[in-house]
Formats: sequence, structure tokens, C-alpha cells
Amino acid sequence: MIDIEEAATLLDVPAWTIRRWIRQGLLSPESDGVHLNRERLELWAKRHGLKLRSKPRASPATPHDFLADAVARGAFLDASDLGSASEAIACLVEAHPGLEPDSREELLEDIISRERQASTALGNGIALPHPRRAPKRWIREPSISILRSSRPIDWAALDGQPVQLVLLPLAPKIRVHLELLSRLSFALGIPGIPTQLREAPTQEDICTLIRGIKMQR
Amino acid sequence: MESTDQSLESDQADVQGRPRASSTAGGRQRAHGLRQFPKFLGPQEEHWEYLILAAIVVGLASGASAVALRSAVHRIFTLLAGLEIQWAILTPAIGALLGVLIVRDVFRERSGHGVPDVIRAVGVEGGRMPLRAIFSRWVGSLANVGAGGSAGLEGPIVHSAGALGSAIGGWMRLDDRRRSILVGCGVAGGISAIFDAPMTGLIFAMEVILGEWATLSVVPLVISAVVATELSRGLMGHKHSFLHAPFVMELPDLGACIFLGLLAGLISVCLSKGIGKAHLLARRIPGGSLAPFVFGLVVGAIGCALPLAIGEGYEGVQHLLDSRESLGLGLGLAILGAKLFTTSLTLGSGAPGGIFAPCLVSGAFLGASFHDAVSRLLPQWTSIAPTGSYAIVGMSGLVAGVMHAPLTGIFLVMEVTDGYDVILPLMIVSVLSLLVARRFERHSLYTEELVESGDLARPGSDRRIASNLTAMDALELEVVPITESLTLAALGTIVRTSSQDHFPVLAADGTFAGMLELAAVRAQMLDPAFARITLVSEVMDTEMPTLEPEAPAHLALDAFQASGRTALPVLDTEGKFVGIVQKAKLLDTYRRELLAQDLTLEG
Repeated sequence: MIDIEEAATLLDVPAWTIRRWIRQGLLSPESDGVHLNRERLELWAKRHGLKLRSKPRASPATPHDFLADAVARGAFLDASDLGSASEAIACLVEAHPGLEPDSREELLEDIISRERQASTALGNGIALPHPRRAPKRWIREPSISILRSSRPIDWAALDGQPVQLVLLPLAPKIRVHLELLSRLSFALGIPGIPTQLREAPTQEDICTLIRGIKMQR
Repeated sequence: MESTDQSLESDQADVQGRPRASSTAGGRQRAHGLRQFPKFLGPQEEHWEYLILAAIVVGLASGASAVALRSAVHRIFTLLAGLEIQWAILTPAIGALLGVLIVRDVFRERSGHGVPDVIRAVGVEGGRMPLRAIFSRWVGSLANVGAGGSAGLEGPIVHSAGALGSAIGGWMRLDDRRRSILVGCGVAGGISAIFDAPMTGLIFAMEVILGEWATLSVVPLVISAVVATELSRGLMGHKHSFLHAPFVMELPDLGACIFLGLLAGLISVCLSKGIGKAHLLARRIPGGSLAPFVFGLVVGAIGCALPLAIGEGYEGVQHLLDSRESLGLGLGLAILGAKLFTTSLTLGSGAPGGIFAPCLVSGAFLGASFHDAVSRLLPQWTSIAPTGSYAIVGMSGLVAGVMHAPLTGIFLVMEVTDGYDVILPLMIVSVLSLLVARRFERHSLYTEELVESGDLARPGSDRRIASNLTAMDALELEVVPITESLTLAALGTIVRTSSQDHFPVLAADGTFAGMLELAAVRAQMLDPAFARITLVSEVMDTEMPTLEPEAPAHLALDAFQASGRTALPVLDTEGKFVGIVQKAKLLDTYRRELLAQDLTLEG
């Protein structure tokens, strides 16, 4: 025995529609007029080819700490003697805490080949190398690895500026990747944040910094 | 308004209007012959002369076919009647086996009574039936029923005549609608000729086969029905149908009819379920031909004891209607039970034959037995009406309960008794029988298998509308694809001058790689720095289902629902990108089809 609201959720239609169907004689409620027999309803839906919804439809909202948690899962390095983009990327992949050892080589190759396809320098001394395509089977949780280089690295940036802040996002799915990018893009657009990222002493500080940012959503 | 001289089916389309793999513009330049109408006569849709001419031809052909089959079967049956017992048991078995072999192996059709095939043809196949259907069940039932199989000839005649109508419609290159009507004409003619009852033929064709009552169809159907009836009268004499009998019923009988109606419903369910159970049993017997033979032996054995319970069965009915005294309650019930049993065996085993006659025979014996029983218990209720009247009313009850065709049953009895007095008891019995039967069996024997396969598509129904549509009807070819190596920034430039929301993505070698929906990458595109470093290949959708151009609309709609996408790519059989289908457009197409197919607008 379910009520109209539950019936509406079950059939994934507005409660209004359930009431209309009752009024039109398509559905017959119990004698009290507000409850329906669940089995009969399911049979009716099946006969008419209507799909029942068992899981709630709403997609889970991204938690507030999404970006900060991603940073916490990634590598965090300061380097001073890196000569090229490939070296920087290799360092980050090597230092990543959450990867299985035999996947690092494959991942590195992928990121490097992507870099060769087109430069990932954002401008203003920031680069965002990433693999060619998510999902990768070896990445289970989203992460952002951060490398600060005191020695500027030539990254073939459009604005000509060498790079001193390297951010490496890794995501299990495209949707997650896009979410990471969009939050990152928002964060980096806030005046002062890129500088703070370059100068924060520890990974913890960066996480705190990011958590403090009020995201658009 | 100029009339279109072009043929209704484009030269580039195959039988179902789908584009042919190879077609040249000059293609089939055969003379359109019958369909070149002088312009001043008006648009082509209004030319009914040819359809009416065809209806006459179909009526003659179906009438002749019906008369021929019935006479032939009758002759064979009487010939075999005087056999010794061992042959008498064997004959129905041989007949059933022969019947199945003829239908299945000679004519390569599935076994079964054939009427569902006609309904399917009209519903989802535009009235198309194969030529061999004209002969398959005709010959098959000749063997089966002639040898004693407990089944009717109406089903096979309906199948054969329907195929005849379809063939003639095909030769005249008529469109689907008119071709379907000709199928109906064949059906109407066949039934009319069998029962010497033109209205019954008409009603049966409309109620059971076509499922519609449009004015458009009535005229040709009536013509075929009347022509067939006249032909049958010419060949077999006027009022040749065994059923012509006077009918008498008074007020007290109506009370009894209520119970008869309920009983008829229950017996109808017995028959339907019996056939179903026998069918299941037959499937468990290995070898497709063994079941008809074995079941046929049982039928033969029963036939030795109760010859009225096998074969077409109308002799028994004739006896009930003609004689003044009843057969006796015991014998009547025995024959009823035996008839239900043998019919289940014959039809359940897949031997070709129809259900109409068994309904009439069972109904007649039910009515007669009921009358006997009630006369003994409550003589004041039935003292006036003779057995025959109850038998007749019982017949209509079974037709209503088994075939879910109350109007056909009512009209049949009305026509053959030449009177309207019979209407009230008929309606009582038919309607009650139908209500009871539907409580147990949602669908009639005819429509059951169609509902299972999803082919029951009555005019105007969603299934009928959707069955016409394929992805081709909503395909958008004018979509500009993008390469996967494009950056989102470059895409932004394209988007500025395009109105597309969905972009197919192609790899460098031109193969289809995925889809990009602008809504999914909106945020990234608007950030110039990110847009520069993000490639389309990194963010495109590769997990969406793809459609083929000939994918039926209901499959496409299922794909949309399951995947949650609003546009899906269409790839040809080699995986090459053809175009996209947007859900919104598909629904528009559906609506348009609904309007185009609206028969009520034609009047």
C-alpha cells in the first residue's frame, strides 16, 4: 500500500499525473482514495511498458571539499633543478601517492604524449598537464598534484611565459575530470590565489586555502 | 491542386519504404498504368473505382475458395466415414501430420491457425501477405479437417482469402491502406460465403481483422461480402447454410440466458486454456511432427465413439437445430466435453485449422445440454423454446468468449435466423460470456500471440504509429562534425556561428569517435585559458548508444530513455557516421505521424 507521492516517485511522474490518471479511470485507488496497491500498480506499469524507478534520480551534489580533497590525494613537490616539462611531469607522476607502481609508466607516457599534442600551459606561469583521456583504470579517486619550480620551465606557453606552478589533475571519469577542471578554473581566476598557491609552505596550507574559497555552486 | 503523377512508393524505396542500397534515379520506370489519372479528375486519393473493382474480384475469388474448400472437405470426410476402426483411429492422425507437414515444410510457414498472421499483416506490415499463404493453410486444413481433425475451416479460409486480397492489392500496386482493406475484403468474402451471411463477414472483418470502423473501409468490404455471398448461393443454393433455422424465445427464457451466458464464458475459458495446455504439452514432445500424429490418434479414438465430436462438426449442429427431440443430456454433455478435448488436441498440436467452427459446435452443444438440464429442473423456464434456439444462442456465447468477438457472434446468429427477436437473448449471452471470459483471459486466442510479440497494432494506436517510424524519419544530416584534436577554444569559434548543440566527433582518419554536447562543456569553454588546453577528445562522450538508420522508433526512444541523452548518433552498418537524431525532433516526428495517420480526419 503506497500513497500518491510514493506512486509518483515509483513511476517517475509528477503527483499531478497520478491524480489525473486516477480521475480518468486508468488507475484505481483503494477505498480511501489516496492509497494505491503497489503490486497492482507495478503490474499496470509493466503492462503499459512504463519503467519503474527504484533509485532516486538526483545526482549526488559535489561535496564542498571536492577540490581540497583532490589536492590532499595528490603529490606535492618543490623543485629547483628541472629543465623541461617532461621532467616536471615525470617527477609528479613518480611522487604520486595513490598510484600502483606498474601503472606509472603507462600514465607518464600518456601525459607526455598529450603534452606533445598541444601545450597545457594556461599562461601566467601555470601549466596543467593531464592524461589524454579519462577514465583510466588505475585512477580511482580524483587528485590534483602540485609542483612548484623555483627555476622557470619553458612550457611553450602562448603568452611566452615560463612555468613555475604545475598542476596535474587525474580523474577516473570524464565527468569528474570536467568537474575538477571547472573548479580549478574558478579558483585560479580569483585574484591572488595563483600567487598563494606558489608560496604556500605545505600541502595542508593549500588545502586550507582552497577550502576557504567559496565555490560558485 | 495538381495531382501527383509520381507513384506513391518512391522508386528509391523498397517494399517498406526504406531506402534501397542501390537505386538509380531512372530506376523503375515501368508504366504506372492503372494509376495515371487524368488531372481534371482530382487527386489520386479519391479514386476508389479501382478499389471497388478489386473488391468485386476479391469477393468472387474468396467466395469460390470458401465454397471449394468446404465442399472438398465435406466430400473427403464422408468418404472416410465408413472406415473400420483401426483406420478410423489412424486417419485423423495421418491427416494432422500431413497438414502440419504441408504448412511447415511444403509452404514454409509457421504452424498455427493463421488468423493472427492476417491481423499482423494488416497491423504492422501494410497489408502484405506472402503469395504462398493463399494455398498453405487451405491445403493443410483440407488434409487435417478432411481426415477428421477437430477444427474449423473459417480460419484457413480467412487466411487464404486475406492473402488473396493482398496479392491482388499488390498486383494493382495499391498503397498500404488500400491493400489492407483488400485483405479485409478477402476475409469478409470468405466468411460471408461460408455462412451465407454477408453482414457477418463484414462485421468479422472489421471487428477482428482490421480493428477499425472507418467509413472508408466499409464500402469495399460490403461489396466483397455481398459478391461472395451471391456466388456461394449460386453454387450451393440459397440459404444453403446449415444454420438457417427459426428461432423462438420468450421472456422466461431470458432468465435462463443469463446463466447460459455465464456458463458460456466459463466453457470458453476451458477451450482457450485447453488449447494452450495442449500446445505446451505438444512442445514437450520431441520432433515437430510427432505431436500432431499422436494427438491425432487420440482424436481418432474419440471419434470412433463420438463421431459428432471430430471433424468440422456441423452435422451435429444441424441435427440439434432440426430435430424436435433432444439428444439427451448425457450424450449432449459427452459430445460437448469431447469436442472441447479434441479441439484442444488438434489445434494445440499445431495442425492447421480454425477455431470458429469448434466455437459454434461447442456452443451449440452447450446450449442444447443447458436446455435439457433446465427443462428437467425448472420446466417453467424453458418449456416454450425448443432445444435449437438454445443451441443457437450458445453458439454466439462461445464466439464471444473465445474469439472476443461478440458482434460477430450476434450478427451471425441474427443473420441466419432472419429475425431480430433473437437480439435480446443474444446480447445477454454474448456480453456475459465475454465478461466472464475476459476475467480469465485478457486476450483472445487470436490476439494472444500478437500481444506477446508486440505486433498487435490497431489503427491509431501508439504501436502502429511508432511502427511506421524509424530513425530515418527524424535523421538530421546537416550536422557539422568536428575533429577530436580540436581545442575547446577553437570549438568556441565554431560555436559562435553555428546553431548546433550536439557535435559528432571524428578521428583524424574520419571514423566516428564520439559526441560532444555543448551543455556538458559549457563552463570549460567559457574559461579562455582552460579552453585552450582542453581537447575535444578529452571531454567527448563515447559511451552513448548508437542507432542504425533503420532502427525502429520505439528502439530509439528506449535508447534515449536508458541513456539519458538528448541526441544520439546514427551510424550505418559499417560504422560510418550518417547523422544524428535528437530526442525532441523524434517526438515531433511522432506527433506529425499521429496527425498524418489520423483516420478520423478523412471521414
